[in-house]
Amino acid sequence: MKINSNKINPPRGAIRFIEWQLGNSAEDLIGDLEELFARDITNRKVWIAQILFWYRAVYFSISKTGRVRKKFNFGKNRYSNTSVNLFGSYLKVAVRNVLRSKLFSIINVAGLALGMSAGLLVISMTNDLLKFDEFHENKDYLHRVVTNAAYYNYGWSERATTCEPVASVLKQTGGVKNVVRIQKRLSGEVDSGAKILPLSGYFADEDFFEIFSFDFIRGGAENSLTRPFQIVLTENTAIKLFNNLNVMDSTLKVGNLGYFTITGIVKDVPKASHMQFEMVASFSTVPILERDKILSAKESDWTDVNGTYVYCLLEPDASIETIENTLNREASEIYANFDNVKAAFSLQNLKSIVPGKDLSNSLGPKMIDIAIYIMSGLAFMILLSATFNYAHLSSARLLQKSREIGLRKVIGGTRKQLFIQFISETLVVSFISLILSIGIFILIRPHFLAIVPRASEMLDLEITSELFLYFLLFALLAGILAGTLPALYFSRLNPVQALRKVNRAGKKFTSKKSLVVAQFTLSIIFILGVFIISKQYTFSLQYGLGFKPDSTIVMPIYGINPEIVKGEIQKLNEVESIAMGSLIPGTGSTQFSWIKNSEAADSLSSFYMSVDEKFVPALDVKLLAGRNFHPEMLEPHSILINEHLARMLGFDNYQNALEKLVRIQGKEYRIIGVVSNFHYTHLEEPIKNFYLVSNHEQFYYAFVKVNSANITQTFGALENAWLKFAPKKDFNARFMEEHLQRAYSHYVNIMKIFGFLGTLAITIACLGLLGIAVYSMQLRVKEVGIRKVMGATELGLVGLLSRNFLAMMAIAICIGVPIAYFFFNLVLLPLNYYHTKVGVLEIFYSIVLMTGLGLLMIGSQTLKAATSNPAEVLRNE
Amino acid sequence: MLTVAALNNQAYGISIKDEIENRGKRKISIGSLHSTITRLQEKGYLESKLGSATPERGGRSKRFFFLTHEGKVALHRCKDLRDQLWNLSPETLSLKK
Repeated sequence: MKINSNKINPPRGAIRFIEWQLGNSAEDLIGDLEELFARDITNRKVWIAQILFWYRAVYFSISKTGRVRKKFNFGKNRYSNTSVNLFGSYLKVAVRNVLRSKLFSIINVAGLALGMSAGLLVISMTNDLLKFDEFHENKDYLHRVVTNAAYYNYGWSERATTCEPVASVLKQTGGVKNVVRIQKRLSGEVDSGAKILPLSGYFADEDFFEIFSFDFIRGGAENSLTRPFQIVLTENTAIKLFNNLNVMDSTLKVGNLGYFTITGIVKDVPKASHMQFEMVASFSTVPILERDKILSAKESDWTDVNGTYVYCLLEPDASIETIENTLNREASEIYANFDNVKAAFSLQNLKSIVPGKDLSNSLGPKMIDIAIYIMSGLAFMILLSATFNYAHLSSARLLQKSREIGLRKVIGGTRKQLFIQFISETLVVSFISLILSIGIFILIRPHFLAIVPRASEMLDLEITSELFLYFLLFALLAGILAGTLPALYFSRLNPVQALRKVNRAGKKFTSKKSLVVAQFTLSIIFILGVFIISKQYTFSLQYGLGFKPDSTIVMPIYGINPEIVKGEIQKLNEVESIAMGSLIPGTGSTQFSWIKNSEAADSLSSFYMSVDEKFVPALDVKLLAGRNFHPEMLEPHSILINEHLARMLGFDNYQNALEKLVRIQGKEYRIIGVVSNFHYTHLEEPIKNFYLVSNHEQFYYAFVKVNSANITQTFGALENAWLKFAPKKDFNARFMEEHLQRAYSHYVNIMKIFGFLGTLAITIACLGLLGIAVYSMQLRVKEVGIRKVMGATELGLVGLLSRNFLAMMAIAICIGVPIAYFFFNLVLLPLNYYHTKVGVLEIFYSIVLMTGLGLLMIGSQTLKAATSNPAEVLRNE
Repeated sequence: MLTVAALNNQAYGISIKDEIENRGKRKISIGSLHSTITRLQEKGYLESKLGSATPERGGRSKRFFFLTHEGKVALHRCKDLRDQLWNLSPETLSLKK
């Protein structure tokens, strides 16, 4: 037989295992295994082949062959035969026990697997987060200056930024090797000549790439950021802009900041980095741009602690405390001169940024450590609940096995042996559960990433071999957690007691019952939560917003002249009208200013929006008095106000408001009309002061009202028109209703979270209930038999047997519903100003759903018990 | 044992397994095969010798199995017994109808 030397090697662990077990005498066996393996990988999946290899290796070591081979090897082998034999026997008995009571095993495995899947999520997330910024070579000596500052009397708050002079002080401090300043102000429409894209990045000092480890593909860390207007792109950015990487020394126009020369290309920033940028420009550009008034001048003194990030590389032997003290000594002298600002500085190691403290002005995506603790806590609680279920179930079942235990003890089984026997049984179950829970984990992973804010930017949750090891450890832990209690309890049993047929059922039952009640209470809260939030979601979407968003397509116009857009788009047949606006109403974005009635003394705060004359008719906003903006004449100093603002300005009769003058930001405006109160922002906020102004500089969105049967064709036509006047910019049109739905998508996310937790809770609760039902039915089987003989009807028996369980669920409902009611009605729903209420219907639905599931569990068992033949049951007596 | 004899000095784990699977039309796992072989060795019917390292097995050597004299005797005894029994019952075993 000819075997190509294949690149895939058999699992080394298995080879080592067999060598450890059998010593040198196993060489030929390993040879056989490898040959089979080579055959397997040609016609099977690799992992199947590897598992087969392992299986065979283990089989060898515990089978006849292994035992005999070990004897040949005697003396070389440190391990005696018995330990392996015992281990094998424990395993064998455990597997047999698990297989014998299939129903119990299925319940146990399902419950544990669900609980463990939540644990796996947290483990993989924590694992990913702990890898953050691990790729920097200098990670141990890189620190960020964190500022704890107080403005006026607003109280102290910690932020990731600091003031610029800190950098120069640090440079002169002993123990500091290098200092880099970073500002986030580099952003805008980047024009490469071939393509225009909105991008963002950092201004950073020249040593940025020296102290941080970002790999260069073109160019190098040296001289890439030394002179003004130099820029380094990431690989992806370069490809997006130019379609290739040979762009060294090309120039880019970044928004209104000017032209930059490309001096390098680095690999894309890994997800596990707290810095996320698409480009980095030299910091020496900043003073020039500030001088030319292109960037607003930062006060580069000690009072502005919000714009600049300072990172420093320390000498390996430097004392952080000394450096902090030097910095603060200097700072306290300077801050003595200011009345309004106080600040103190500290150094934060790169590794403790993510996960880390909750700081404002975060440089990139952040994940605070508390969030991880909370999630771990939640996962632990779910797991605990699942393991309690397991413990209770197995102790209930083991009661039946008390005879076996008694017998084993009588013939000389030690406590330790029994303990190990029970534990290994649990471990078998927990490892089977692990396989299942990894399946669940893979299933829910994408949803989890979508739910948790920003998670998809930061986490992969890929299963690596390292992670898999943690999973195995976790399964071991879960198994021990679940198994120890019953194992301890039963290994301690007195054999005399165990052998006597004592019905100890009633004793340890209250704890089990209260656990099931607690689980059902949680379940009903979650179920009710899903119902209520879905109600709020539809409520928000169907709420009369005061304008009509239907058949309107919104497209951002990216600074293109609105007149050009209008001209091209209006040519299309499908287009009814096109309006311009500064934001999309109803989605939560707002613009804010102060408005002052000429007579009233106080300024009123007000939201506003810039629109053109087509906006009001296109969205069907009701004009209550006056007129709309003039279609031909520019009216930059006229406004339309809403009812609320009219009243606040003192015009109860809207007609009186017309032609009145108001002052906004120091300029005079004329009120030309009053519009109805429409929801300019999302429903979490009440309608307040609002006005419409016609400022052509602030048109960011085009609202295209279309009238067509074929939407795809319309979008195609729009895109073609778009390409005529903006070939280099992305076409990004979407229905306005879609935008509105997105604004409420967090409800869908909360629903998903509640749905997931609810499914977990109710499944575990149901499994617990099923277990306890199965057990108590088995205990009462004789009672049922006697009752039947005495003439009880089946229906009556079912009622009798179910009574206890129904009482448990009734208690759960009595506790859960009020809690849920108050929580949702008084806490969660009022977060929205316009909100729905918890109705009787939702409560009714969730009770029906839960009792339905519960009854299904109980019913299946009680019915079985009630229909059993009394002759069969009582025969043995 | 017969398979080992049939393989004529080329009998090692995999080849025995293949032979049994091809001729006997039954699957046998490598583990149980080795268990059987080990038992036969214990009874002294088989002996084994480590072959030289072979490139196709990544430098690992094969263990070849041979029949011992006792093994041959046992096989012969087995065959004799069967032959006797066959000869005793030619009519009952006849396939003619």
